[in-house]
Formats: sequence, structure tokens, C-alpha cells
Amino acid sequence: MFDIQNDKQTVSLIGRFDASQIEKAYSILDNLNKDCIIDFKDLQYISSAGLGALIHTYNRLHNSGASIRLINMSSHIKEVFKISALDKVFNIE
Amino acid sequence: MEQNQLVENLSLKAQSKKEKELIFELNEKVMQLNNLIDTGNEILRLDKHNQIFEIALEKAASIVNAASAVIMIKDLESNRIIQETVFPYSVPSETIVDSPFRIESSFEFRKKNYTFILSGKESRKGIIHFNELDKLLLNAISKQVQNAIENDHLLKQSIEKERIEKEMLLAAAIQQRIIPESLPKIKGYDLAGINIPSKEVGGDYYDCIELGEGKYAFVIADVTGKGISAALLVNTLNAALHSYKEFKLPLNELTAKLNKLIYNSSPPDKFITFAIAVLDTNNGKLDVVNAGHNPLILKRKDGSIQKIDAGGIGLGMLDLGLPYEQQDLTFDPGDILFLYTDGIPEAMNKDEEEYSDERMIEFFVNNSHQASSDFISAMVKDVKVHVDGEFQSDDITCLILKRI
Repeated sequence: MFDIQNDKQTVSLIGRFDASQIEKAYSILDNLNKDCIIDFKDLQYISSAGLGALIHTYNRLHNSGASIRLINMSSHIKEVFKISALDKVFNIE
Repeated sequence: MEQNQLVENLSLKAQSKKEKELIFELNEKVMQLNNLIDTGNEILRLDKHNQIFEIALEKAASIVNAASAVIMIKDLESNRIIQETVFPYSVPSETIVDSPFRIESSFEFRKKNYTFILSGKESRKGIIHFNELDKLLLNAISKQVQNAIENDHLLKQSIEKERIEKEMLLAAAIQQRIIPESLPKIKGYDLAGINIPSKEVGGDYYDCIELGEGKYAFVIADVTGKGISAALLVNTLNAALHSYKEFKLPLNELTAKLNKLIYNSSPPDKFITFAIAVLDTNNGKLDVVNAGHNPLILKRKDGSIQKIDAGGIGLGMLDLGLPYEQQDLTFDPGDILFLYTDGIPEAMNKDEEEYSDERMIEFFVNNSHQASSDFISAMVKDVKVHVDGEFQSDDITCLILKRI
């Protein structure tokens, strides 16, 4: 199960974010166009394809001067960001 | 044709007015049936839905002498009409739907409802109600349209399946060409590697590249996604590595160049987690860069375990000029280096329990005293015991280097 919701530039990721959910995720992520927050509170799993979608969004926003903050990350998902060294790129709170 | 002949013969012998009427009716029904058979054959030959609807409406209207006809397609999930085709074009669909002189027939297919409505049977006496036979004929046409749509769907499905299978074969062929058939023999070292591709063909890669002057590069990589795009990206990495070996760049600078290359040659959300260790057999120096890959595991002769994760982001993630960190180590007799992809720790059983980093490291610690190829066989077996016949969703890839 995966869901993604956008409430005033705060995006909530819910469930398991893997390759099969990319289209659904982009339908929300592609609409972000200014400073935004991504809430990981209810995310259980993220695959490399999920990371790819976030990186693409980061790149797009970064190029237009907007920022992206990641909040409420579980230790398990923080580990995924650490292994991929993305903890040095993303602003993780 | 024989039936028509028969009707004509009967007509000649007809005496009374009543008989003539009966014969006229019979004649009309035979024509209707022939028309219906022709319509069925015509519909089955078409593969575009709109053409099917147009032909079916026109034929249905002419077979039962309907003044107008409509087919409406309703999406059952949103409960909305998503398409209306009307015959003749000029008639508003509401007048057909609201007509007191109408008959309907409908079917459902793939969460859509298809309803045919015919309105106003034309006769010498003006507009009249349709009869039972007209309803049967409409049902028959509706059934033919349903068959045509189902056939078309099955055909498209089998073409798509064939396309995917072909793509997978091609991806597997590319990957097989890149994964080394045999690894170099290095005196004083014991080296073995394996790649077991998943059914969907992932983008895992391992290699040992001889750099000359007693130096060797050990590589492991995992591309996001599967199939042909992943295989092609691994191919790019493989080609780049084999050409960069001439340049003798420091490892961290080489990785930064690879990052730029992969960034420019891949879609924005594709990347490669990659780790490279370069061993100088002259002095036992081991330089490592880890670009977003699972940590390399180094077991020292004294049994201590070191995880090597220094490096930077995966190749092709971002082109921000971020530097890569390089870790310079020594690789002494009795030391063992283990490189792997996440297909091992994330191999799942039917209860969705992962094999896990902990079990993998424990197995490595307890069994890596075996010859490298024996260790790899044993580890693959242990992973298979854990997954217990579940579908392998990711490639299983690892490389082990022991200094004797």
C-alpha cells in the first residue's frame, strides 16, 4: 500500500514507496514548485526507485531556487539515506 | 441464398393476402439474419473500438429499421459516461435515450458498461414499438461487439507480453555480456564472484579489472530499476571503467568523473550505487570509494569487522560537483573483503522478513574461512534457505577477495 498527499506544499508519504508507485508519486511531486516539506512519518519503506523520484524532485526544485525539507524520518529510512550518502544532500530534520 | 430462393418460390405459390403477409415477414427475417451474420463478420475484423461501434450502430439500426441508435460507455468506477457514439450523427443522444419507442442491450467489460439503445422502429404505419425479434437481434449484435472488444483486448495483451519478454531477453543478454565469465587469477589471493539475475533482470554488476603493474580494481554496482534501461546504464559504467583505467586518476576523482558521465547519460531519476576498491598487490594498499552503495565489509585477520562506507552519493544522482571521499587502507594476509548488493540482505521470505544485514554479516564471519568460491555457494544456499522458494525480486550479486 502506498499513498501520497499534498497539503499546501507539505507532502506526506504513506506506506511502501517502490518502483510500482513512481507514477502515482510523480502526479503529486511534479506539482511542487516552491519551498516544500516532505513528511516521512507514515512511510515504512523506500526503494532506490523511490529515492530516484525524490532526487529528481530535489534537482528540479534546486534548479529553480526552491528548497525541500524532509521531516519525521524513521531510523530505518534514515539509514537508507545514510547508505546512499543522500543525508549530505537533503535537509533532513 | 438457398433460403432466399425458397422464399421466392413460396411467394409464387402464394394465394391469400394473409399468406403474402406471412411470406413478406419471413422474407424480412431471413434478410435480417443474413445481415446479422455479415455484421458479425465485419465487426470481428475491426480492431479500432470506434469503428466497431459505428458499424454496429449502423447495422443494428438498418436490421431492425430503427430511426436512430446510440452506444454509451460508462466508467463503472467513476460512474460517468465517458463516450457516446450516435447514429445518424445529427441526432442528439438524449432524444434516443428518452424515446418511448426504444430497446436496450448492454454488457460489461473491464469495469466499463456498454449500452446500446435503438429508438423508433420505422414502418409503413409510421414509428412503432420494437418487437421481441428486434430485441433478440439487438442482443446478438451487442454480443458480437462484446466479442470483438474482448478479442482486441486479448490480442493487445499478448503483444504487450511478447514485447516485455523480448525486452527482458535483450536486457539479460546485455547483462550477461558485462558480467565477467571468469575473474583474473591473482597470486596470493583467492577471488570469487556471482550474479544471479532475478526474473525481471536487475541492473547489478560486479567486475575485477586488471589495471597493470600489479594493480586490480574490484567493482560492485546496482542500478535503480530493472530491464533494458538498467542493463544499458550498467553497460555505460562498464565501458567507462575500462577506458578510465588508462588515465591513472586518483580513485575519488575517477568516481566524480563517473558521476558526471552517468548523470549525463541517464534519466533524472536513475542512478547507480557503486563501490570500487583498488588493490596494489606490490604493497597491499587498498583504496576504496563508496558511491552510495551498501558498505563494503572488511574482516581482519584478528576477526574484527570494518564497514567501509566513505565516499559520496550514488553515480548520476546529482551533478553539484560534490567531492567523493576516498578511504586508504592496507589489505594484509588473512584479510577478507566482501562486496555485495542489496539483493542479499533484502531477500524476502513469504512473511516478508528480510535475510537482513545482521544474518549476512554473521554468515560471513562464520563461513568466510572457506575457499572464496565455496563461501559464495554456501551464502547463496543460506539465502535460498531463508527465502524458502519465494519469488526472487532482485539480483543477487557479491564478490569476495581473500588475501592468503
